[in-house]
Amino acid sequence: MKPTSLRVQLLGWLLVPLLLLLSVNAWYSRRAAADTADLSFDRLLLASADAIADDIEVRDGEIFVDLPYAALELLESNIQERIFYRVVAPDGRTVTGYDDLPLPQATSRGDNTLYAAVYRGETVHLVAMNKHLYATGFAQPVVVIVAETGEARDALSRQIVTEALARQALLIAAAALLVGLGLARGLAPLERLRRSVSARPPADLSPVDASGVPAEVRPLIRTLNEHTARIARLLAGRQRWIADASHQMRTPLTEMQTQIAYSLRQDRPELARQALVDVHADIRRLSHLLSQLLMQARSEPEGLAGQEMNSLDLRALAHEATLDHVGPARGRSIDLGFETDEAPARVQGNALLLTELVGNLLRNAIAYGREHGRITVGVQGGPEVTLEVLDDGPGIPAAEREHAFQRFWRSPTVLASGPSGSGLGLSIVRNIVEAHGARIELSSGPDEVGLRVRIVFPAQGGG
Amino acid sequence: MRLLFVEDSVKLTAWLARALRQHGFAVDTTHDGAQADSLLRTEHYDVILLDLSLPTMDGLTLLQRLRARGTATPVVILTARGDLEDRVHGLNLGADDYLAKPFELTELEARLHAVIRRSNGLAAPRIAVGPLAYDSSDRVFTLDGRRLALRPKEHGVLEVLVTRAGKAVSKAQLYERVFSIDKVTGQDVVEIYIHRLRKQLHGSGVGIVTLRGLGYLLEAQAS
Repeated sequence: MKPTSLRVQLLGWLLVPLLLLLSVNAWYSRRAAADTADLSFDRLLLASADAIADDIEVRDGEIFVDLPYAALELLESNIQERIFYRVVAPDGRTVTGYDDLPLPQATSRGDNTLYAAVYRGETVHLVAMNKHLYATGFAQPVVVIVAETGEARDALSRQIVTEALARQALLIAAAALLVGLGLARGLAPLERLRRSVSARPPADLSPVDASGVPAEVRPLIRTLNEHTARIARLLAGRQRWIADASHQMRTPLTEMQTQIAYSLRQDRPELARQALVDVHADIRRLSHLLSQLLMQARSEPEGLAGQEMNSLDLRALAHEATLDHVGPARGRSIDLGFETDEAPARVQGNALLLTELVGNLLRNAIAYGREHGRITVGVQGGPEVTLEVLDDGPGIPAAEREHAFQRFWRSPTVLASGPSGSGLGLSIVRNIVEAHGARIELSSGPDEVGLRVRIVFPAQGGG
Repeated sequence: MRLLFVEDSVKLTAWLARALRQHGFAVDTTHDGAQADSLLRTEHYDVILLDLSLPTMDGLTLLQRLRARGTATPVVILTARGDLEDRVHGLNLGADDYLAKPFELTELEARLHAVIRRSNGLAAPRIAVGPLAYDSSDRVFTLDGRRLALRPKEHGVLEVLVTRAGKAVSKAQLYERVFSIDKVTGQDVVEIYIHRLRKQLHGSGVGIVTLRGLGYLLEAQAS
């Protein structure tokens, strides 16, 4: 989405409708102004006609008009405007004036008719006034027509419209200015916030102070603060991991260094050889530790984000992974087996990670299980697919089970006598289990013997 | 067999070359990708051991050029980068195998022999599991040096087991490989032949182990 300025948006929402309103208003104002102008100028026309009518006389049966120029002066204005008049006798003869000035099409019921007509190619406003002559022989009235071209009334109506619109435009401009100012004031705290955040030292991940920020923006700041807190937790986790890892690496390195340094001083070939054999074994352990450390780091939630998840057959995957451990199991004369049922065992998962998961469980079971013992990998299908690794070794005492998933945790009983290990296997397993939305349980095997690791995958939605 | 070892670590090159020479390889070494590239234009090698991070030309580019020239010499990649993508990429570019550092010397030697054998189009000529030996050229089994008389189907089952020595073979796989011609029998027929083979091998120091739910495994047994 294109980023939009709040200022532009708000002004747009304010100004566009206001301008629309203004144009609608202008149209109505024009009509009102024209009516107003017509009304006043029609009054003047009437007054002129009335003045002319007043001066109509009948002498010896003839109609005379003593045209009072004052009557027409009423209509004069600054605007170049032309006035026409005509006095029509009852017999239709033009007594005086322009004899082609048109009569009204239909006379109104009263004595005065206001109308418009085209005269000499121009639209003119006319008034026709009936003047009854109270003299014999004149039953019909004399008609007085006064006409004017419309410049003056147009000018007046334009003036009325312009003034009204100018006032409104001024109001809109003032509103726009005030909105702009108000926004600038409203957004100022955000700008202050931006400056204070960008001025922070690089390692400062403390929450941003949201006080003084507009109420609408405060939830956003709160959410961003939570986001930052998550990053801070991840970073702290990473720091701990690095500290743990370097501790784990340093110890075996120191052992090797000491052994070699001591052997070099002794000048005894058989001791040197023994040191080499020991160091070779140490290096093998260290290599394993290193690859487990890397796997553990990769299996942390942030490392697993974005890993591809596919629908896959856990039965086939676990079968394949179990086959990979036949060699080591036979090496300890362990009876390694695989048990499954017929129900479909599809899970949503990452093949590489799940293979790693089975591998870690089997490596643990083979390393810590009993020689000549028995290890069974089981997959049960169904809506919830279950993976189980069962051994008949010493198991993990119930009290220690909750620690078993901690990084570098090793059972005190195993530490004393048992095989070496990185203490990362179950921690990796837990990470992979969590990444698949599955749950993991540790319990004893049948008759409280051995260890049963049970992982239940969530039912796949939609079959 | 001539081996070219391209690796930028001088110390690793020196020690590993020594070990491989002792193992019977004629080893040439170089620390530089471009130099390796020009060497490969003129010299013939049976196998190339290639590190990925090299000065002047990285291992993957070198490999790409080698294959672009149509050279089919088997290549085993060595790398300290353990990423799966790297591995897939390397194999796609025509590497024959891939070994992550650190590795066991014996593992490296086994892989080198395997890729050379494969490039020559030969299976392992002679496989031994305890006292049982199999010669792939004349397809004969010997037990303690004496020729083992086997019926054809027994021979077939044991052949599958011995070529996958150390790895379990499932009943389904055995059935597929040996009995698929006459489909009339069920998979359980495999058990009959396993039983017969066990009798033949009984007390000899090699035996067929049943792995629950996994299949069968031929392994040397302490007598």
